[in-house]
Order: sequence, then structure tokens, then C-alpha cells
Amino acid sequence: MAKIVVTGHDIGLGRIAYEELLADGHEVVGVCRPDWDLDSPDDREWLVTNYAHFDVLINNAYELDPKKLADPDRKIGQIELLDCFLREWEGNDSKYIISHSSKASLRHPQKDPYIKRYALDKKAHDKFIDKWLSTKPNGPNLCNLMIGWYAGSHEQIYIKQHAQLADAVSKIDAVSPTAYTDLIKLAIHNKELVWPNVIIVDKSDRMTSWKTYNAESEMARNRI
Amino acid sequence: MKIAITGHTSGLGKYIYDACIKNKHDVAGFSLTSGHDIDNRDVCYDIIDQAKHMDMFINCAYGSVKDQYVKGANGQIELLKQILSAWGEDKSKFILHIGSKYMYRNPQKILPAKIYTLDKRHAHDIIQNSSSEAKVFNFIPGMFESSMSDMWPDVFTKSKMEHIGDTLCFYIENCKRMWPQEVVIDKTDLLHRPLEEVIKLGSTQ
Repeated sequence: MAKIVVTGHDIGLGRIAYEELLADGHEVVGVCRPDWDLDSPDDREWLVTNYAHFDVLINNAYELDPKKLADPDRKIGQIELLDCFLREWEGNDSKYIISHSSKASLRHPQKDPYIKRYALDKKAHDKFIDKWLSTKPNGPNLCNLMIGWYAGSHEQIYIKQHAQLADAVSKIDAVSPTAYTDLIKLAIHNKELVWPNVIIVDKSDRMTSWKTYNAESEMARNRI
Repeated sequence: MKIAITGHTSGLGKYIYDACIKNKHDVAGFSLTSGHDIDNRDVCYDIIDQAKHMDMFINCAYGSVKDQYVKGANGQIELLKQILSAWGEDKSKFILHIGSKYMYRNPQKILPAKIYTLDKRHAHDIIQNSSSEAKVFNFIPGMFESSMSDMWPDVFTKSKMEHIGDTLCFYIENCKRMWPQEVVIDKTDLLHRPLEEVIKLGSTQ
């Protein structure tokens, strides 16, 4: 059984992963607002200091403060936390990180400013991981989990704030979050044997061809 | 589910074939030992024709390493092109292509390794440039124990076949719930090590 820390365990995928891993007998600790703030450097440091002895980090929490949408100096808390743990666990191949990204990062940024910011943040997350992996470190083991919409995505705080968007998202025929948590459980179960670096996954009916993604990425480059 | 798989009599293909049979799927296997030489283009057409009513096509067999590299000449690539063409407009179909992490390496000095690397990279490019409506999954494992990997220097450490195979079977069994477009996976302690270190590790075992 592993010692696992889950960020953002109060809602959505984080909550289900937290509950299911706990039910499987793992020692699981969750952190979330209001007690713990992803955007606070002190809180991030506190998490690393207190849970560096754990085996697995599920870097799930992501926050999008509407007031900071246009702030050019805005730090992305999820990436900052990932950076903290990568530095703390550098060279340690008995540590594991599953960092949640989104298939939105493959698409061209949408018109909605929130979804656009979300896609760009996740793209930055993916680039950060790619850059880190290219340094060929000896650990920790890092998995970039890039998922499509899941049932319940509309409950996320930044979507909830926009009724029209939340309504549209709630109608999407999305993946059951338990399917995604099954993926997480499989990776943790096999962690000492095989480990995925990258998983790009969605409901099979909602797959988009790579050509479309590549074309959209090109469009995005031209638009930004 | 009706599944067609190439290379079902050895290595990862056999592992998946046996697992699919055990899981009560209707499975058709095509391999060299059953008379299907995928390096023969006409045989590829025949396989695609026989698979036309299947739900999933698992493009596992690699084909043979040629004396020199000719882009796109490998049987697995020919089958990939043909199945993308045949199933490209059918959203209900699943295509699972077995790639390799070796495509990320610089082409090796050893000719068979170089050809293998370039072939896997070429197949990856075909998938990336495909506009197929079928659900295409590129599974990209590192080196694992198999008859294929026996031809590489034995100083390399490898994943166990069953660890790679069981992961793949999980995705096959869950294909209606979710389906990946890409998974890169390897033996845990080899994931980030430089090649020189991997060789050193193997030689001390």
C-alpha cells in the first residue's frame, strides 16, 4: 500500500480518486481550500515539507482566479507545486507523481476567456513536463495524465461561475470519473513494475484525430 | 467484441490474443506462422478484407527488418496505412497500433535497430497526420521481454511481458468507457535513465 497525497480532494476527480484510493487501503491525505491554498507559496512549501516522505503525489488541483486572468505575472499554482515536488524528489526513483492535464491543451484556445486561459495553462503544464523529462533525470517518476471532459466537470469552480458554460459542459457525454480513477489506480498498483510517462485519453466517441489537433495547434500559434 | 490481431503467435501479440480469448472476445489472428506474411502487400489487403466486420484491429506484428531502410516498406506500416484507409470513415472502429519508445532515440548505429527506430517513427508520423474518424490508439512501450527484443543486445534490462500486456488488456477491456490516443510506458526504473546508464545497469545484473 502506498502513501498518497491528493490535492483538490474536495471536488470532482480529486474527490473520487481520494475516496477510491482510501477504499483500496492506501494511506491517503487530501488537501484543499479553505485550509490549504494552491496559490500560496507558503502552503505549497508546507505540503512538500510535511509530505516529502510520501510515495505518490496526485497533482490534481488547478485554480483559475477570474481577477488574475489578464495578469501577465500570474503564476500557475499547479505547475509551481509540481516544481516544488520535482526539486524535493529529484533523483529519487521511488517517488511517483501523477499530474493532471487536459486534452484542452491540444486544441486551439477557445473564445471563452476562461476556457482559453485554462487551455493555455494546461499547455504550459505539458511543456513544463516535457522540458523536465528531456533532462533525463533519475526520478521521480512522472506521469502527465491528459484527460477529456468527465461527468461532473461542470462542478469545477471556474466553470460553475458561468452558468451558460456550466450548462453546456453538463450536457457533454463525458467519461465517468471512475474510469479515470481506474487508470490512476492501475498506475499506482503497477508503479514499481511499469510506469506511464504520458496518457492521453477520452471517451472513445469524443476522440479527435491528430490531424485536427495539429491543425488547431497551428491555428493557435497564428492567433496568439 | 470482434478483434483482429496480427502477430498473435508470439510475443506481445500472443499475450494479448490469449487474454482476449480468455475474456470471451471473438478473435482472429494473423501471423507468419499461420501463413500471413505482412511484408507481402497482397497479404495485407487480404487481412484487411478479412477484418472488415471486426470492431478492433490490433496492429502488433512488426514485419521483418530489411537489409536497408526503405521508408514505409515495413509490413506493419503497410497494414497501418491500409486499415486507416479502410476504416478511416467509420467512427465505430478501434485501431490499436503498437509503437515503440525507441522512436524517440537517435537512430542507432546497429542497422536493424536503426531501421526499427525509423519505422516506428514513421508509423507515429502517419498516425499524427491521420484524419481518421476511427479511434486510433498508439501504444508506445519501452523494451520488454519478447522474441523481438531477444535480437537486441542482452545488456539491456527489459520490462516483463505480462506487465506491458496486462496494461494493454486493461485499455482493450475498457475501450467503451474510455480510449487513449497515446500511452508511453516503460519499466519504472528505466524511465529517465540515459542509455549509457541503462546498459551499465544491465551488465551488472
